[in-house]
Amino acid sequence: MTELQVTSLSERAIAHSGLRRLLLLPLSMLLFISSACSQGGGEHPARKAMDSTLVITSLGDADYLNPVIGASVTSSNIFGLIYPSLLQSEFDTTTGLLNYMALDKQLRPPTSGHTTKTPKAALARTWRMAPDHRSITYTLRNDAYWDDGKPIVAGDVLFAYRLYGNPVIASPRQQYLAELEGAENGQVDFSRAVAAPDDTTLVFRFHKPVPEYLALFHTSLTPMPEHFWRNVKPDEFRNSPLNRKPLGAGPYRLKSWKPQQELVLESNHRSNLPKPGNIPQLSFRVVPDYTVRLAQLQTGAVDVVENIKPEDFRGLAGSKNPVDIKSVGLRVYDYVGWSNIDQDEYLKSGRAVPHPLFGSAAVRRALTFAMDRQSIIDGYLGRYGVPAVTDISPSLKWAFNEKIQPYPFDQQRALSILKAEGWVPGPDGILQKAGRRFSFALYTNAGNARRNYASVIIQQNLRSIGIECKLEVQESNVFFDNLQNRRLDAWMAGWSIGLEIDPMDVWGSDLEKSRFNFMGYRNPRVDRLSALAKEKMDPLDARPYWLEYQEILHRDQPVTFLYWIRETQGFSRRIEGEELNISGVFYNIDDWTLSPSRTLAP
Amino acid sequence: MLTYIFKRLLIAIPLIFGVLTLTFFIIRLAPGDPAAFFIQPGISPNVAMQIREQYGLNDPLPIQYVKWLGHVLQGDFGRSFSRAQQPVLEVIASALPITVTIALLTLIANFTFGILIGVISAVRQNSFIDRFLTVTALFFYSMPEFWFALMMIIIFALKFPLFPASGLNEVGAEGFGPIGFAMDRLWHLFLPVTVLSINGAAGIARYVRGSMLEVIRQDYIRTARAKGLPERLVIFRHALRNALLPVITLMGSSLPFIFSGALFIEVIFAFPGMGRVTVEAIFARDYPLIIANTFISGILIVFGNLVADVLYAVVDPRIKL
Repeated sequence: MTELQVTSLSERAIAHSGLRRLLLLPLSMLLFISSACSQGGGEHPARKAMDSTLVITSLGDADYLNPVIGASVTSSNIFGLIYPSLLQSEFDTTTGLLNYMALDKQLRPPTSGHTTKTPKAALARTWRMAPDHRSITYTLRNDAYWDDGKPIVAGDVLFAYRLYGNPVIASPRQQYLAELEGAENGQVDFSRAVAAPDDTTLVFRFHKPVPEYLALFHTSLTPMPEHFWRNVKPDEFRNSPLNRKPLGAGPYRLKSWKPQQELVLESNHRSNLPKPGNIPQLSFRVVPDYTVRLAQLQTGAVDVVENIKPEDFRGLAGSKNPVDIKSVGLRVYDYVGWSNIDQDEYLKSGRAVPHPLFGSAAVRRALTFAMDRQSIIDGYLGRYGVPAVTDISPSLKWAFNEKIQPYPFDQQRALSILKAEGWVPGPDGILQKAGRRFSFALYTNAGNARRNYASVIIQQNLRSIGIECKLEVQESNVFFDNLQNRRLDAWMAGWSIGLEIDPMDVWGSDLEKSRFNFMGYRNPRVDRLSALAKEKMDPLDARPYWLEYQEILHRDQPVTFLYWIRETQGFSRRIEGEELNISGVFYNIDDWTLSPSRTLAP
Repeated sequence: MLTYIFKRLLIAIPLIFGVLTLTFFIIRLAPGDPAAFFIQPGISPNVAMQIREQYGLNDPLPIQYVKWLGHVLQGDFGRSFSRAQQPVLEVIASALPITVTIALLTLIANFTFGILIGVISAVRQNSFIDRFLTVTALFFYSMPEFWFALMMIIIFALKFPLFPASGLNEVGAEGFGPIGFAMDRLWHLFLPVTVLSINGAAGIARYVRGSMLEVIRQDYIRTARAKGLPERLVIFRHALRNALLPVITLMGSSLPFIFSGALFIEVIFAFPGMGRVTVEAIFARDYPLIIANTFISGILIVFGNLVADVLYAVVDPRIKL
């Protein structure tokens, strides 16, 4: 046998044995794993756990389980289930007004005929607004207890308000204290502003007359157990380990929390506010990647995924795990922002002179005419988008101006307006005026597929009437920083609106005070209308002012309002009893049930 | 050798310190700050200001640097801005074991499969199996990890639900008992480790193949065969041992790469490891956490290179440190 033959034979043997091992290794791993999975029969503990657990995924973890400093949406969803509340609020879909309920009283009778929210979760038995609207007095129930058995008393609310108002603690909810006595001078005077003369009486005093609905909204911040938090100094408040062990009284309580992984709440059997949650356990799982969240919803590994993108609806319809898409709205809108003033000049000298491109309302109207907003809605959002006219949502029916029709897509009209404004086609086909080309960059933040889609259509629309629009995408932090520091001339962004109308932060003429008036829009009539509306003690009396306000915004087009979005949430069909609402996805979560869980003892 | 290691560690101190200083200034030059989150409608305008004051971000940059330096020299890396004021070392202490587990499993899989494929390719040079393995390895080597990860999830978690798409454990895994819990953890680690190791193994396979081809042409291999040693012994004892010399040094230097690969994998598979901590810290402008992560990465790179050099000296007696 020659050397060559030996080599080739042995090589073959080795190669075969190597190959065998190569194939065997993953096979044995698969076997090992399938043996691990094959326990997944009817009695598998994982299945049993799933039957009594509702799994909700979120993009990020909760920050503080503390209503004073918790800032993220996930946190407030979670501490909303742990802590008690002074009042219950309900969004009346017929009128678009928020209703407030105490155990024995409600602000106004529900117009839709039935309430879905039970007032049993409210700590307040009733309230009394002073005739001069300068104070409100609550009477609290005496049968509510913290989880450690101590009664919930008026002093707990007073204690909490001192925390909310403490600048060292830096609560994001300080705004709620703006009408309390002393706040007009920059610091709430707690010796006069909030009083708890006995365990069931609570008094708030204001420095000006406050409408009842606003007083209820601003005085119903979550109470905190004083006996539990008393010894924590304000400068240690954010670092306190108690933030990770909340003491509440609501339908759920914290069972475990693995940061950035999973937070588990268990039904609180002691709760009478309103009752222990129906589902034994709620698991909030952090899954940063959207595709993975979607895949898990499809396989049934999770039950609720928020903000499903319209392009995935079809895929979800055919998934193995039956899924429902539920939508709420309309609270979020996208817009194209135009710099109404020359930002460079404003930064340099503080003078507000019109922007060379977008300074004229007629030009801004022409830009709106030039954009095919309906095709963005049809192409991306479908029936989950509604054309936007101003920043008052059609859901706030009591204030919404139905007479205003959105500007149609009419490029001829856009061109004639621009021509009248002196913009005529230049040699390169781009409009020109006094030697200046109509060319600008439209900025938007990275990672938003909807805005990317819209911006491309807008670019094409504008190009076809001779306007050059360059698209620039920036990381969100950078984008927001540039916006705030007035470095952008045109941008695409969006807002999520509050359920009470308060537009001065965005449209107020005082550009130093109006933090979000990135456009530099100034109209004294808008300021005046907003002030007049706030003076009315009944929101319905303010309706005429808001109608005029919308007409002005529609005429001036300080921004081009694009569309309102119905936020779409994916729900596993094993959930029953869910009622989605504009005020939140987990609006009545304590009433939800899981279909298999009814057959299993919790 | 001990003197050499000691010297290298001494040199590493100013190196890591320099990297940290650079990171400190670079990250602060980036637009946006941790308080930006509080600048939104409905939130009091004072909050961002108060938060900046508390975080010490209102001081001039050189003063912030001196303060930071003072704390770091005492071993205090501060508290995370974005994670509810948790001490950053605590954040890292909970994230590091997860990443180390993934990295070690990946390292083992990388080298096991890489060496195996490389040896087969070399021994069967230019055969069909060699070409097949070479093309396959190249295919996986050139595939972006995040894309591959998503494909694996779509195939093995969605279409054929064999593995979970994310997370470290199943809902209620605490009730499975210690063995059940460990099995569940392994089951969850299968896809991410596969994604991470396929790419790495492909690279190592190419490396082993080249090294092996060089070695089996050497005179001493011919001698070994001539004296009648079984081919298995020739390949595995004589050839592979020498062919692995340069490969072993890869082990140390691939550690930091596995960590950086874990960055995507942890975000996609929702593992609360170092990769995700880093990504989230950067987006949230969580300065203390970013610096602490840089510190850990710096140490890993220095340590990885040191391990590579030491391993080289250990396996090849001709090299003196």
